[in-house]
Amino acid sequence: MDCETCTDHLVELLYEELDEEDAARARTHLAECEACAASFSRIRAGHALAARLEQLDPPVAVRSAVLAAARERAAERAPAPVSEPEPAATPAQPEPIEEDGAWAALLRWLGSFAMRPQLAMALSLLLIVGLGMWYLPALRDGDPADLHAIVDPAPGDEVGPSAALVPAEPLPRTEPAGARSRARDEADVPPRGATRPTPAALDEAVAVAPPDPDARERAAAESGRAARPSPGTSIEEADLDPRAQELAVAPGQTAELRPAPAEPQATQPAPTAPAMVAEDSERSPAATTDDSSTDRYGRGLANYRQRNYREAASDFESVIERPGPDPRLIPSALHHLARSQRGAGNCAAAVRSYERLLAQHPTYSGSGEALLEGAGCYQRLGRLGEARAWLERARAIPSVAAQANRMLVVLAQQERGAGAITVEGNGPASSTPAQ
Amino acid sequence: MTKDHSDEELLRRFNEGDPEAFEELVRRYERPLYNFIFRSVRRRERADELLQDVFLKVVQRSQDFKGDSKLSTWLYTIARNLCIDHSRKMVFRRHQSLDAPGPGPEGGPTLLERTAGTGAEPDRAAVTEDLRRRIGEAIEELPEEQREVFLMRHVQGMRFKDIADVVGVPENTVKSRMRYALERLQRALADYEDYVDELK
Repeated sequence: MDCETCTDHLVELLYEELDEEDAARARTHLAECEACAASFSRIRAGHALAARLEQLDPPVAVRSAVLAAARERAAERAPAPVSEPEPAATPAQPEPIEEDGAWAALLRWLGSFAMRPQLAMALSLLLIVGLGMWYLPALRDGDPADLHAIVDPAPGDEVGPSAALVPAEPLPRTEPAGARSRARDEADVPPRGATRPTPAALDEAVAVAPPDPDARERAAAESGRAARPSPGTSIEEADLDPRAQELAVAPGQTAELRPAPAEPQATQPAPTAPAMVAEDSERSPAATTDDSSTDRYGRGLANYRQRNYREAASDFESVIERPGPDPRLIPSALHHLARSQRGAGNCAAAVRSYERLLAQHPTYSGSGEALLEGAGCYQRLGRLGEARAWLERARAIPSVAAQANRMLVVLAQQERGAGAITVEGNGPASSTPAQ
Repeated sequence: MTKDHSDEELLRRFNEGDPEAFEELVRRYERPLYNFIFRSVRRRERADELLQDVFLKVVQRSQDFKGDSKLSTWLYTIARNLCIDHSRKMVFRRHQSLDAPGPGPEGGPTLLERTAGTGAEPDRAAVTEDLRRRIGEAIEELPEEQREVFLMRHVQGMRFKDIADVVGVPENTVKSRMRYALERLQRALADYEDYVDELK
């Protein structure tokens, strides 16, 4: 083996990636060649020194945030549960031979769509629109004034629901939870004389709810009645507002509505089937139609990286406000919100976010860094006393103690410069950090 | 149970909806990746964010991984690209950093603080601590192309062929860079050689 070849093989020899035959040749050459032996000795010494390199542990907060995102994504990817309870819930097939027939295959295929959230949403929407449409003839037959009310806007109004349809007093019915409720809150028409909802809010409401508040109430009242196992009791009638009672449909019409299977799911998230419903509730319309918290969090990080601090802060705020099914992103989002505010130069807001983070999540693994960063903000705000207090707290956290000590040195100089330092008789060495 | 699976098998299981598989992947790679990133960007705060970015990208794009290469190669390619992006931005920011936030947790002491002696004979722990810091500094002072190769080999234990795949250069180039890196480290830390020999 010549020197050039040997030199090429030195690191492989060092890391034992060389096959035995080449390794033997290289060792033989090293025994004979002083220059190559010296070269090998140098890199071996460098390797031995580098082996003393300290390996740092990543913060637990990173792992928590990543795993929360992974769980959310895994839940999206998990296959829809096979409808195991279905055979038990339905009576046994009288003719088992049909199991293998085309009809059974078709049923199985249709059944595979049964619990898909998109389908459930589409059916809910269809049901809501259908109910609205169904009421139109009822209104025409019942009260012509109401028909005019739908067609003709209230005096002075250009668009929007007629004043005739605005309830005279708040309705006693409780709102169903979820996105529909939110949309309804935004689109609900206030009492007479109040400001009308914005067109955007109305558009949003129209997309998911019946076209006007009364009709919505009627639909909710009707579907609520249909969802109940024993219709016609006095309790459910008492739930209805007087207008809805007036508009109560004939028994025959109600009977048409009751068999609709999707109605209970569309009107209220009452538990029906065990595991599948639990999963469906996690994938509520709000969760599926909106960005997931992971996506918003990732977008916030990207914005933060791009120094778009205001957008980043907005993204992280949305994660904090709407964390999704797994709230473990919240502490990290709060921490990044504070950093974004700090990056945007808004130290006052940043310290509030840091304070909130430390107060609400005392066991947050990144609290040491948060204390240091918050102390830096206090310094920039000239609130040196609070900066010192936070740095003293940070000194108790081993992973950031050294940095806290260094910052205390700088702070002491700053305090001296500002003439604000006061010698504390028994204080913890205010200008001399512990080593 | 997941500990027995290969990286690629774990990723496949995650794609099928098993979050435990991804947790095992995180457990395997978070520490070496973190050290690789930290030694590249030199600031803990940035390293935290970039490590998180790496894993979030894997979460979001795991179905894009076709298995043509090792998962470790893919992970380090992502990490390396993020570090390069970060370095480019930092070059730009050096010109506008007067109002930037103050130094983060790994700002490091000044040279004066480092060299200020106490007058007493330094004890063993102090020398060890000093050596660790000097090693870190020596690694950070390596040229970027040598440093990344050194870190992938030293921190992750990747084979030179896999490193060549990540970096996109021939394997022999990777080995040369590694040799140069080790020689530089030896020169930079020659004062500590005897001490390290004693520790063996």
